[in-house]
Amino acid sequence: MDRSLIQFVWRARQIAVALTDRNLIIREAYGQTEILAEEMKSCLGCPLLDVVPELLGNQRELEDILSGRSSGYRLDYVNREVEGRTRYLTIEDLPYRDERGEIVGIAHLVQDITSQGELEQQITQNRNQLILLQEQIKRQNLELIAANAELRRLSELKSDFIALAAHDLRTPLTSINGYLEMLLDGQMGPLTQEEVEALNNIQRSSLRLVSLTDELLNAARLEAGRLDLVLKPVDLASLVQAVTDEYTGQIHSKRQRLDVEMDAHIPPALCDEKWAKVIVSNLVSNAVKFTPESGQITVRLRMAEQTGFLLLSVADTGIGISGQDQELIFSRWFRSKNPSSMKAQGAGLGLYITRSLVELHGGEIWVESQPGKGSVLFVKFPLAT
Amino acid sequence: MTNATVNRKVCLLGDFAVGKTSMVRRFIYERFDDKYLSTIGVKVSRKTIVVSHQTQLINLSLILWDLAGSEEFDQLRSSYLRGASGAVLVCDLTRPETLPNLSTYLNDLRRVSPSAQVILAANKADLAAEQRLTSAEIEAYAVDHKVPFHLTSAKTGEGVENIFRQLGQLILIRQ
Repeated sequence: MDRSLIQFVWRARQIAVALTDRNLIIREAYGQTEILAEEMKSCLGCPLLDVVPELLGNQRELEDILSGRSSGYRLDYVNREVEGRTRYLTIEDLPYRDERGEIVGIAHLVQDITSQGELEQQITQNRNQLILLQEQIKRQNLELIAANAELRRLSELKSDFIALAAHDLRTPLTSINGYLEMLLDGQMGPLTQEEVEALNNIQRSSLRLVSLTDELLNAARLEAGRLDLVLKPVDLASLVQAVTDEYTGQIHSKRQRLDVEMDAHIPPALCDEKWAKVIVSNLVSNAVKFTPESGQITVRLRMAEQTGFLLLSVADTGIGISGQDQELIFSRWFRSKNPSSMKAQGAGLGLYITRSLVELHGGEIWVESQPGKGSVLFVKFPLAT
Repeated sequence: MTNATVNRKVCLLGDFAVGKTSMVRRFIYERFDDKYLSTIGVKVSRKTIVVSHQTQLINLSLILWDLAGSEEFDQLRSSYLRGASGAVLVCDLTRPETLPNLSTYLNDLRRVSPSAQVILAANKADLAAEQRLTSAEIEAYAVDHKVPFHLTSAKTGEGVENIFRQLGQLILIRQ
């Protein structure tokens, strides 16, 4: 074969060959000899093991090749630092035979595969970093799950505590209210006008406490998922009328106007009557609370545009709700920072409970409002049919 | 008085990114680099230490084979392990799975070089806040597999010299 062609192949494929005698002394070298060792010329006559550190500790493999027990020994992706850059080599040691086929030494073949090695290194690096990132995310997820479980546990403890405290408050309040009614009815003797006014004040505060403890109990039940609905067809029109009637006294005392508008032949809604009453009551109570004297409250019940739902709306001419607060009014303990709103009493649980109850019924609640121009709260109830 | 140098091949084994290359760099050059650079294939380095053995001081040249920890080199690993007199199994204290994974490497080593001496390095001891392997877990693993162990940090150098010295002693005792 043409010697220049062989040289071309060795150069193109970055191959070098060193031939040793049986004592592993390098006798000949060909091809790109600079990849065999840094100074190959000075290595002629040197032991192969001195030139190739990767073979130290592997003398046994070389002995096996020389004795014919092994057909060769190969190392892939051998790293060598050359001027601060990693050079990747494939090293292969094969039996070197003479014309008679006798093994007379080792043919030590080296190929520079740096381009391939660098690509391989980059792929490996990227993949390993991705795996490390995945492991990190997995660990963080587990930590978050554990933290979440702990938060749930604490939240349940808090709900239990609130439920217990509210229940224990409710019991003596029932007794207080009972005696107040007896006193106000004159069952314990006649009262002076001053005494009646004082007892009326006590009763208002006591009823306010009852309402607050009820809200706390309901919120605790909702959070703990301990509120079971008994769904059945309910005449929502009658229910709305009954609730608005209950507020007539308060509305008159604030000189507010109340309009109740209902479509004729409202079909029954599928809801729990007790909790539907709480929903309607909270909306009307809210409107009364935030509507100034001589203001207008309008309660409407009609078929919703969406088939299968009734739409209840409670509109007021109150202070309105800012866009920012509209996002928050259905959250627990929400109290607007608006000074007019802050005058109104409340724990900030009413609309939270209302939203939770509406959602439990499979309905929807939302608000439309402009500050200074009043608000409209909408609730969709599913129909029974 | 020291005798002639004895060469012994020692392999570093363990999952990727546990710090094998960093341990070699710390041991040989007393340097550390935080940047992670995956090793592919094998990088051979050498360091000679003086070890006392049976009233003699021996120049022990440790030929360190820093092997790729990535899975795609599993097939090649056996050829790298041939002729090993010892091995350092390296796990990462911040990644618990890297400890049980060592069993695969240990089995490969035992199959190819059954008489090789083994020591366990529980690395990254400097990252105390992120540690997810306890000393008790490492000790239990070491006892189960009958290998000595050290907590190491290639970053601070803690335990690194001891690992290689103890392994050198074991290799000389068993030779």
